[in-house]
Amino acid sequence: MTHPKTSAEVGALYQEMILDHYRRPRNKGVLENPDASVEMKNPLCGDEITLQVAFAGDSVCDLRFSGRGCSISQASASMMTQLIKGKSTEEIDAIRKQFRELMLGDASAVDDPQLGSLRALSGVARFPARVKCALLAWNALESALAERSVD
Amino acid sequence: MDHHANFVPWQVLAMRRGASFRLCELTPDGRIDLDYLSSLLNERTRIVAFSHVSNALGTINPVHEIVRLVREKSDAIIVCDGAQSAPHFPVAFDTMGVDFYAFSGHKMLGPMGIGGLIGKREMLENMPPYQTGGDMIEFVHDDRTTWNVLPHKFEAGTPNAANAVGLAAAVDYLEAIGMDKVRSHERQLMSVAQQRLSAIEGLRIYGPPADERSGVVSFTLADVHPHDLATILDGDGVCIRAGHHCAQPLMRRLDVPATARASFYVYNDESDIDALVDGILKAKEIFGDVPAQAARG
Repeated sequence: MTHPKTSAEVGALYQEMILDHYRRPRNKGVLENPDASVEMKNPLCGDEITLQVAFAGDSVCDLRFSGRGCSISQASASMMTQLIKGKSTEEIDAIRKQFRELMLGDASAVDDPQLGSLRALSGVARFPARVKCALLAWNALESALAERSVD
Repeated sequence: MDHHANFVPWQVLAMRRGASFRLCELTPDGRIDLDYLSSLLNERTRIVAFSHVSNALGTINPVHEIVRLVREKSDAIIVCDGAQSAPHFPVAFDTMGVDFYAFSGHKMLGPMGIGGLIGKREMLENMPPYQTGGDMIEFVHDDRTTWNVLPHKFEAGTPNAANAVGLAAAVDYLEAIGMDKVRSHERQLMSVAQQRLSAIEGLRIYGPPADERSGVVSFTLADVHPHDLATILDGDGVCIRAGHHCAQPLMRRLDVPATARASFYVYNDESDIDALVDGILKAKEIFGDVPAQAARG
């Protein structure tokens, strides 16, 4: 990772897709009867998220998030909920691993169609300090899935 | 309004000793509420710690008024955190009236890992060493040890020589400029920055008026998260700090998760303010009109 950041890298980070999800987050709110509910905070920047998940069999049938944070954390949460809904836990695990690769700057992850709109977040990898923002919702998801497997 | 470094140690000490740890609240514009402070003080107050200058807001606290209040109502030991005052304006320990004053090397152009604690001689004489090891001894008998004189009594182990030399160079450098000049340079920049920033629609500045602050300005920009703002400014070569500034209790009182903070020092000039303002306007352009709901949840 080279420093300092360039204006072009910043432009690549704040794609319209991300700003759109920040302005109009999808699946934001609360579920009436979630099977798992996880609250997570990023102590460094004060971002916080509550993720609620409802399962049907082995699949996530619905999920909602609430909380506050920067555009990266909010957009990542919003896009994640869209992509995960209806997927099996096995599919979700694969996506989750691949998204982490994307955040680590793995070029092949950028071309992986299963990441869908999440690929818009690929620019985050150039900003190590912001990777934790993008991963906040995913860490919450991981805990929610673990909570489910314990039950 | 204190930095966690002047908050957590006292909180932990109070828990360890079973003492009560009480916080002085602030006025709405980010100053120590002196009436509130007065209501906290009594003959059982043992230690009063405060920061000379707030790292998050830049508030310059009225040392003499605080000292007068504390002395009037208690026999408390007064500890002043000077991490943000020693680098920015002339400080004379002898006339401040406090018992202890601490500062950090890396906040005044010096190296990390070194700082200073100034204390009243009679208090230091009465204090036992807080660390044992080499150099702090006078005589080591088989059954007891006597202590070296000040300041060696508090400097156990191998001295941090390289950093001491580095800090001394930083002090010489600042003295050559003159601390009065450092202060007037920052005041000038702050007054320009205040004027330019307050003209930006949607920008909110925290803390007291510019002439009562040191060289920092803490602000938020509509619903653009401070971290996004910092990243955009970073792309244009402008470094600010975004976050809670190691002052989470203060952020709660300001009712914000974080602020953006621009700091000015001897190496800044007005062109840096131009770059800052341009970057903020760019962030506004990138984010457009973000509805409050989206940003706040």
